[in-house]
Amino acid sequence: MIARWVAFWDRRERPESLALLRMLVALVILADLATALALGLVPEAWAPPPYGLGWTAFGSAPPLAGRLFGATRGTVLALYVTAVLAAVALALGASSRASACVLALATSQLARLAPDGERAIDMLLRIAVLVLAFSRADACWSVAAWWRTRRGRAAPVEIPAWPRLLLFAQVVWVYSSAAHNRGGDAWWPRGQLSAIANILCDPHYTRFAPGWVEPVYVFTQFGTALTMAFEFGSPLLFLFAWLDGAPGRGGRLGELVRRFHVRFLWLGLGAMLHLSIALSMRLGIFSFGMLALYPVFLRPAEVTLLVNRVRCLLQPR
Amino acid sequence: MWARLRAALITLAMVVGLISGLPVPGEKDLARLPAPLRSLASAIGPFQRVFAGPFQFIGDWLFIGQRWNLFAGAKTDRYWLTIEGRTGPNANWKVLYRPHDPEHALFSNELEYRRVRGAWNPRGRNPADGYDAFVTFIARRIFAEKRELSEVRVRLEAIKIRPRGAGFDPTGEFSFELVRARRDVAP
Repeated sequence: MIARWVAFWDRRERPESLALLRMLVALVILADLATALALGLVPEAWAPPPYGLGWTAFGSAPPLAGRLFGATRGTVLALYVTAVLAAVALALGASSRASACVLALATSQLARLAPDGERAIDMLLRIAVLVLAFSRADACWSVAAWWRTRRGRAAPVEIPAWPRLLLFAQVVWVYSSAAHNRGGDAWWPRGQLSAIANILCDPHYTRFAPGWVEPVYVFTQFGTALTMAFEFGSPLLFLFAWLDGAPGRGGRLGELVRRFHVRFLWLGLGAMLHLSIALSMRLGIFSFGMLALYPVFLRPAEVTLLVNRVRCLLQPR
Repeated sequence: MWARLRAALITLAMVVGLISGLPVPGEKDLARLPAPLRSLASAIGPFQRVFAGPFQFIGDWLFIGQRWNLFAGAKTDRYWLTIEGRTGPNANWKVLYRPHDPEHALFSNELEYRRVRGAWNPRGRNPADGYDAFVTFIARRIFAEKRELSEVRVRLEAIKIRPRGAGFDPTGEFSFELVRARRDVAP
């Protein structure tokens, strides 16, 4: 049992899944940082009062950057520029390990300066960046791979798979934990499955004028039920991925899962829920951040196929 | 050797993450549970402190955690932010910004950016920890933009979400009211 567990975490695979993950995660973080800049909120989104929202700077436990360099707008600006440069480097795959470490540290310091601005998605992306720091995600589609080829050195054909598998488990846990923490009746039939309709009527979150959901209320109830089913059922992804791993696995159930592409249907449902959230609610990078993590659910060959199809679509005819 | 060590470290990270991410039920949720489950659920907190506590510093340092609360409540009692300004102590307050009020949309793009919203959107029945800093920050921006104003007021009106997605009703009850005068905060 222990030997199989060790062997599972010692598996190797082609690098495409982790390379795509690296680029998407870095780009989402970069987009968020760029939005703050475009809105004229740098350094104010993290700067100490009275200039900005970084209220912890003068608290009892200021973050390390504040203690070392002073709680000033200059410190925030330095952290911001560091985070941007590290995100660019990570997206390009230049010194990926170092840039991932620097990005995680810089964003965590910014987060500790203005914790109210931090949402679950920021934490999740930071965890992904930390795991990427231990990976070989720059083995392809990166400056590092280009440089290696230019110098006549062969690119690694396979890299350790554990970072992708660990992040697979992480994202499943996020969905599962979200379902466990749903305490309000509105998410359940006893509250008429009214949760999504309630959120879409909240002027702080809804994208369109509150009240627009009344004619489509029944669809929002369906959406609430679907969200709960998707989140509670997310551990099934482990089963679907295992059954999909090799022909002949899992008997009749495995045959059904493979024939009807249940894993892809499940992931498609997740993508649809996230796109619906992005369309109807103002939650910033949440949906895009979650979708940026979806390459962890895809095997490298599937990512290659996907990328080739996108390339074909984008090529001028 | 390395493969075993790596597997052990991954297992440790997963176990600690799972323990620290277990949901801790509130008093209301505990009361709903049957007696045997209630005692089990009330042991989660102490269990977490013992087994995940030694690793808490990692979460604190990197500002990460493993309990994912995404729209946990979706309650019908909500708030509606109102930012107002006036030209003198006896002048009437004029609304400058309210979410989803196209006639009062001063700094709407900035205020609706998620990081800024986190500073004014209440957490349950309490204001965000940085609410005070937010009020000072937005007052400074408003004073710089609207030279005629001498005071800025920020408050949240309680609203009630209507059933079946029919919008919301303002209650006229305001809370978390803070006022900033130009002389105190202006740049």
